[in-house]
Amino acid sequence: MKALARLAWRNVWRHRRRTILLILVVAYAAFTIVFYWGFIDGYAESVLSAQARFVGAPVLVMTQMYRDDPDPEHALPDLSFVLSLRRDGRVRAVAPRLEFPALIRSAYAAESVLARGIDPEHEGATSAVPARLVEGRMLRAPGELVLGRGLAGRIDVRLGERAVVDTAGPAGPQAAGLILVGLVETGVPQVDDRAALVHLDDARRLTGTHTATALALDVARGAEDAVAEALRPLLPTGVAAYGPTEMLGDIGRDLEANRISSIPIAFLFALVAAASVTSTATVSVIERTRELGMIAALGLAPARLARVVMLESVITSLIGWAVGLAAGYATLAVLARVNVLGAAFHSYVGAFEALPLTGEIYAAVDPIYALYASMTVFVAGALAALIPAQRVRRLQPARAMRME
Amino acid sequence: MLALAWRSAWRHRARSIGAAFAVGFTVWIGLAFLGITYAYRDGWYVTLTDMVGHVQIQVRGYRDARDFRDRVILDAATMRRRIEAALPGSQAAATLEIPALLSGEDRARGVLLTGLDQPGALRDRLAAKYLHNGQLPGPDDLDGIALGGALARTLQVTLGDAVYAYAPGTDGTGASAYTVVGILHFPDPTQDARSALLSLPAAQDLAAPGAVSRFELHFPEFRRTTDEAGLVHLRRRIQAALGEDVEVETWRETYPALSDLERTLRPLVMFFVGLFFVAAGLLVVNSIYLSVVERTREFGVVIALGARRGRVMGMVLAESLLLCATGASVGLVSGLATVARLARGFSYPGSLGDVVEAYGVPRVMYASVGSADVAIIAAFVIGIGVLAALWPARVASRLEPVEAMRFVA
Amino acid sequence: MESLIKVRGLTKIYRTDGQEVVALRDVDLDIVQGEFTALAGPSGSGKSTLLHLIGGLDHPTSGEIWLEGRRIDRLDHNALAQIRLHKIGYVFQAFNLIPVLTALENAAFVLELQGVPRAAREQRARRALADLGMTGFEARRPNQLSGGQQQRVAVARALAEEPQLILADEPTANLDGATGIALIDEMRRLNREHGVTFVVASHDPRMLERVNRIVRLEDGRIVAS
Repeated sequence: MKALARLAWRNVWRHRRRTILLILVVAYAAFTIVFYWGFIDGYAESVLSAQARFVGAPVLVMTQMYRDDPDPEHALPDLSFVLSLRRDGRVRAVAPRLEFPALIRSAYAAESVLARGIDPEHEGATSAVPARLVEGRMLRAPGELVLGRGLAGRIDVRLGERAVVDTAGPAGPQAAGLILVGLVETGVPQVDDRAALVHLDDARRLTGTHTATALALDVARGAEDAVAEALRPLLPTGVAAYGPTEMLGDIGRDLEANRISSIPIAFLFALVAAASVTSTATVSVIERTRELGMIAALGLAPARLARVVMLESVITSLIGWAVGLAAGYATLAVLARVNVLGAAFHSYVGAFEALPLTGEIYAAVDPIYALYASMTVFVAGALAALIPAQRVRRLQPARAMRME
Repeated sequence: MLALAWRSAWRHRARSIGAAFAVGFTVWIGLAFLGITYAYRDGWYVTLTDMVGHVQIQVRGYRDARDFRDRVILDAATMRRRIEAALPGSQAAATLEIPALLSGEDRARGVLLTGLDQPGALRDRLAAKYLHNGQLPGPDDLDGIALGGALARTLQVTLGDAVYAYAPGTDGTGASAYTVVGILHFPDPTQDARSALLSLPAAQDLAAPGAVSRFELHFPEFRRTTDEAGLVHLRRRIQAALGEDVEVETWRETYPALSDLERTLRPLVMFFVGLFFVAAGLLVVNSIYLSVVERTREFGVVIALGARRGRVMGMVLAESLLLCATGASVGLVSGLATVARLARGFSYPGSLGDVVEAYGVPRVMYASVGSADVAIIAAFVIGIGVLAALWPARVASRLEPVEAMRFVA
Repeated sequence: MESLIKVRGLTKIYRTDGQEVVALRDVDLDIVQGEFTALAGPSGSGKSTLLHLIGGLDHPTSGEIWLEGRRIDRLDHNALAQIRLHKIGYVFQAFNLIPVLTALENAAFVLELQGVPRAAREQRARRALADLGMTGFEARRPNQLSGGQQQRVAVARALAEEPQLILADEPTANLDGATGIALIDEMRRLNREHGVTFVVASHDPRMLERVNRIVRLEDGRIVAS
């Protein structure tokens, strides 16, 4: 066997052009599959992460009533369970939020917003919005207001100026004049054009609610939906935890649908790619029919010759597979750090208000893609090894040597 | 020479058919993929332009204006007369948009109150598409209001209930009460939660007597983005006719993000199709290369007889192109047949239809492809045919005749 | 009389895997218009190499080759291709027809390479086929013809281009006795009637009996002329 392996290895390098072609074909198949899924998943993850970091929170705890009908009326009945959440190992931070619909107006114009009452001390741990302050400072005390830069521009209010927040809730119509202390800009149109952050105390006074509409939790990245699911049994009746996929509703379903509809395309591609690999490997055997005939004539049993040929295909495919995976993951690693996709797909940002995207789209990197690519290459490689080997087994030395 | 290339291409039938099939399959996928994408796009285009028109006429500087008063066309009646004079028989809808707080019994929400004055046909289409319950407020109805379904649920109101609008910072009464006469259903959840429709006079009474936010011109002849060749010219003509105190924009200028999105569709699809073509091209490379190797002796004879290297390369190239063209024409026919079938209307299975509807894609879509797309696909095929032939052609043309004629594979 | 072919000091050395094989050493040869010359000798004597060099299929290691008073041994590939295409007709040992083309298309193939219009080249190919007694076989493919018929088509192809010189490399090697003799007789007749010069590499005694000049090679040297 050792001699056969050596023969196979030497043959691989003797037909250099053909070997390189087969390596390239296999590498192309593996690379494209890895890249494709990194791109498809990366888009979904970018949406989910924008939702988790900017629009909502990694996990939101709220009453089921509030989920169906987001009004302060359905705020959390009490906050006594916050302590037990804070003690839970999976929860890294908890911040209460009181969101309420409001009309925000300056001397010139008004905009309807969903104002968010926050606890300035804790909000930064569960949301990336406070960190995206571009002007002024973050909220510190009641009576202050932080707005998305786009929103502030539209109602024409500047730092230090006063804006009025109108709302009508259980407490009846209420209004408060607040001083604008800071502007945030995240790249997510939904935040930049709509965010109005007020102090939790102001929110409570305006709405007449004494608790919060939701608790924002920070949890490990990538585990949001799972942690939300796991926390549910620990919460009081009528209260549930939601991950970003669920908070996205239709958009979340769209991401799922998008992934599902990517599968047939990937499958069709795998089919064509596998055919290319098989055909390339087959051709490299046919091309050498005479030479193989000679080896057979020298007395190498067809089965052993078939093994040499198979071994050649396997060695070459493995090299191509490794090259393709390395190139694919290297490309994804770059695209996961450098915002190339975001630039290419900038038009998706802002085209649909319900679709949260920051303008930064990063590729996903998941070891599972290697499996997808390997499955394709494996099937193609198996065919590529078997078909030519079959040919070799049926080879008649005398005819093969004469054959043109 | 063509006969030689053709017959050579089919000398090993199974192999050639395999390679041609891969090319044809790819062409078919490309056309079907494009057809479906365009069905998406065309459906979305109709939804969008029904809603906002093809051309928008707004007051100059509306984008940067902060004050509500600076963002509307104050004398709407005069402007309408000028539009009618400039474009007799045109379909112009007038819209007044007012950010307002809308209250039910004990809830209030910020909404975009929209006063609408639409031509009858358009109004009927809007009603057919989005009206869930009740009716749209009549053209001169000062009391009726229609709400998005999600908004009505949030405000806890239903048909016949009263709602109160509060529109501070405007010029009209600033506050008014209405009766809910219609419940709408918009597939886009944001729109469903923020939309309230009034008649134009009712909206003007509330916020801006005699004014509109914009006129929307609808041109029934533009049913697809591909019909729009004349749109920019039309916009310029209208701008010239209406003077400098208004801005005339096409929907692309008013909604640049949507326009960009629409423009990325074709390159995106072509990118994916290109990935397929490369894989199919590799099959062609193999087929052609093997055919060259097997005919080494024959090429040796041809060169010995005095064919120049370029001629030999041309022979291989012709073979590759014929192979690709054959596969492609089969793919083209079946691809166009598939698109033609889908052009009669198709829907996504199950809840996928709901999902795309949120992006403004109607449930029943109609596929299409343009001649430019077929041309691009053809260019792909030719490109693949040429690229696939390069290496084998080089091999063939560099054969030394004496050795080649002695060659046995 | 000026020679059609003049060869002076021709040497050809093949190098394979560091080993040198001398195929021709210092060969001088003159062939005049209208001759029917056979290059004879055992296999490996260099007769095919000499034929290939005369026909511009290969470059010599040293020495000069003149064709119609023009030196051709230093010409590049394309110039040599032009000479082969327009001045020289070839007949090879076997397998030298294009299997997917009919007899007529094969006979017209070189004319097609020359760019002769379709009607003219078909007429000339038909005439050449008729000249070799192949009328009625025009539409057959090579695999529907016998070996002798295939070689006649090959000669017709060479003849159709109306060259001054036809080179043939072991044309009768794959043919049985009677067929081989018939082919040789045809070639002799063409030589007489059309005045075409033939140079044939052959060790077939039937051939050597029927030519007017024999050049014998051994170990790359001319030993008799």
